[in-house]
Amino acid sequence: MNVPADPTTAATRYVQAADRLVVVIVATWHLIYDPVAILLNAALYRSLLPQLVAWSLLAIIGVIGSVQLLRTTGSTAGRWGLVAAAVLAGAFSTAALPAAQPVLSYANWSFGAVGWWCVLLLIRRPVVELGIALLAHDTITLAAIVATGQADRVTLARFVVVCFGTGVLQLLPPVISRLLGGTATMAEESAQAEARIRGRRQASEAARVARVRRYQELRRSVVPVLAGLADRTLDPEDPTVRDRCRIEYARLRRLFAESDDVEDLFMHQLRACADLAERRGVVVEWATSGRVPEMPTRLHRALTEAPMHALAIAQSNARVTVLARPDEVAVGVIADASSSLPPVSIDPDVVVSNHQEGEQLWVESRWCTR
Amino acid sequence: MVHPVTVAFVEDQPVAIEGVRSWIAADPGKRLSLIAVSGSVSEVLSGPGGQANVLLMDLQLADDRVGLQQEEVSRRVADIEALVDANRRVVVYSQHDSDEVIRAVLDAGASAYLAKREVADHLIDAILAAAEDRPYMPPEMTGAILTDDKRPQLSDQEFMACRLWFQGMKKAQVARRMGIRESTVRQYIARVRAKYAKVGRPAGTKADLLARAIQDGLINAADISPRS
Repeated sequence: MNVPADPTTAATRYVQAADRLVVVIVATWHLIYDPVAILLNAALYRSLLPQLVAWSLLAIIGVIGSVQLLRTTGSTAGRWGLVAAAVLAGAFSTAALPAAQPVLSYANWSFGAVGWWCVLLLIRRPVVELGIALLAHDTITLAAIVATGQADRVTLARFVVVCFGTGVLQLLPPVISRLLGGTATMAEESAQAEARIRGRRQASEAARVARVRRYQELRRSVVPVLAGLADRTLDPEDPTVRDRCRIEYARLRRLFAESDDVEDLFMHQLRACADLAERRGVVVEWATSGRVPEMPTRLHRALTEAPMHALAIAQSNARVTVLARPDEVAVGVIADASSSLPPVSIDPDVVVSNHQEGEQLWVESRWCTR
Repeated sequence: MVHPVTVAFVEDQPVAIEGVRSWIAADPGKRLSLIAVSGSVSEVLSGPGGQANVLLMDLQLADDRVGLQQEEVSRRVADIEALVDANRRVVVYSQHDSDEVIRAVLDAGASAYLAKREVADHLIDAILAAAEDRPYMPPEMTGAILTDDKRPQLSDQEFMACRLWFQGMKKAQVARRMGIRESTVRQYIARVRAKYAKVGRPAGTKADLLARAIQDGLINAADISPRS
């Protein structure tokens, strides 16, 4: 039987409960019912000794079987040996009965007991094996009935009824155990599947909200340029319009870079802006010092806004520098560009400075918490 | 200082050697003279290079492989420490290095760190300054110092001047931006370099640099007292 190894799942708990029930039944039977049967019928036995020996044997087998069963990772090897021993002990007890004593009597306490020992020992094995064991035990009892010449219609009828009745009872624990375990496992799996689906739904909802926010930003900046180009209010020959187009192109590219899964997102976005300039033939020189601290995305955007702007309008060369300390990040760009549209800060926490000297434009974007 | 200042060059790439030779020759004032070139420190020192005022040393970090690179760096830093302890002036120059490497080199006692692409603008001045124990700080090295956790206290003006210098502005442009004189900008940058000499491993060259800075009135003792 496939018992889940995790002791905290509901399925395991149900199976363990069934095991414990069987152990309790066997313990009760052997500690109360059997001794009472032996003592009440003590006068009928030829000698008490075989009964006590058989009782002790069954007690030992019972303890071994209970311990093995209650330990969740016990192997099921050697069970049949114990089963055989139990059956033999029972047969021994029965054989020690005086011939006059009917087999199906209270004095033959082992007849009912051994069946439960089979349940205790075989509950974890396929149910078929338990059935075989019970049948074997019943056959031995039947042989005893026949051998002592008690095989009349009444006795046989009683035998069948008793075997059937106790057999059904004894087959119940393993069957119920499997049913409970199986149902619990199914319930657990469906609960997990439901949690997974809920998690996925929440994640996609968060992604949708983020996407809506991003497109709102674009609507403010990129869409007017596109609209102006579309309805001819903006002239593509105008160098100022061209600068604006390059800036918005860089903004889109930076937006795409935001969703990339890289280690240093900030530098990745900055490099995306520089990448566009390089493709135009601008020679970009880099100097970075220090590690950029963790910052929210809005600060990333605010810090890279002015550099992105400067790189987009650079003509042939640009020097990009990043100076980073835990309490300060300064991004600088020196490029050969003339700014008719000076970059401004889009965030109160970021200070943008620029300085035009002839053909050279210097732009700095600085975030400082001091 | 007696002109020309003599330079010994530790380098094994012919292209780099020719580059430096031509830069030194192109100086109109002929202020430097290259008297020895070799691929190893010991070879340079055993010849006429042993008398040179300043050693210009390549970190030879052409490899990108991390493991090998770290070994080479440690060896070079050890070389620098040995040279500095023997009272020699060392200017390091290298292709491109991380902040950690630059700081390690400066901590060992090198007078200046020069990135290869800064050679055109800063080589001569850096070597001359090293020969006289004057502070000189090319832009790339400035970044490493500004982001060092162990940096000394800097005034806002000093920090701003260095920041703009690191970003690539010329000193004249820094002066215009900050609304001060160009000589003041030079002073700020030199002061930061001098203060940084107090940090880290004690070395003869650092002490000399500090002494010279105090003597020139660049900094006073209060500027370099240990922080509480």
